[in-house]
Amino acid sequence: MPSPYDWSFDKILGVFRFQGNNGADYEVALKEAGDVYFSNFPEIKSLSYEIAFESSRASSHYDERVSLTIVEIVKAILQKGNIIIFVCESRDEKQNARHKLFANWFKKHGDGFEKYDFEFDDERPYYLSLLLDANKHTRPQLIIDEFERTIDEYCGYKNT
Amino acid sequence: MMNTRPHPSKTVRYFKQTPPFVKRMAEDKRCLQAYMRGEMTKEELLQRGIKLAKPL
Repeated sequence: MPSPYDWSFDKILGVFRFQGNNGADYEVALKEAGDVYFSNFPEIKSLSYEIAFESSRASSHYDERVSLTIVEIVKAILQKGNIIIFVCESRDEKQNARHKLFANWFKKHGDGFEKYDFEFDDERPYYLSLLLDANKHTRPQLIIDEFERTIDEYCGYKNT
Repeated sequence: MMNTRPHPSKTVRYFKQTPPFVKRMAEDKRCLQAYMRGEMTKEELLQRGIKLAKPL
């Protein structure tokens, strides 16, 4: 049974780091995001983070341990009652493939957590997901409702 | 004890328009990745309003 790699938080760089067996360095960075989405909800505002991943080299094969390590980091963050916002990169037009990959990743590893998907069908599609541990939030639907209200407010109309 | 849900993924909601902050999020994510590749500094992130977080 594969196990996660050892990971740590680099205080100087401000990112989570680990090294794979192929010698590649992997990093996970989080950005404070609450001001944008939940400025009227101080309790949620302080719990929202955007997440990004990067590796020092392109992987030549799938490494289950890399996935497990990222899952472990994400779960540790969610179990603190935080909310993670994940946006699929769209600049190279591969956002749909990334969205499906993320959905499969969550299906495999997401037990105990909740993922809320939002799709924006603009001239360029954007996919966004909210991840949270519902057991850490007394009213998780409030978070989703507020996020949707924020979107509606920015878009200026209500979608179906 | 954690309450494991068999279908934790919730319904997708579609929007016909992308709010500016979502586009900004995608740009910020590119900046975070550039930072991790060593192509941007922490100061440059801050100039864009991107504050790295340590949520643990």
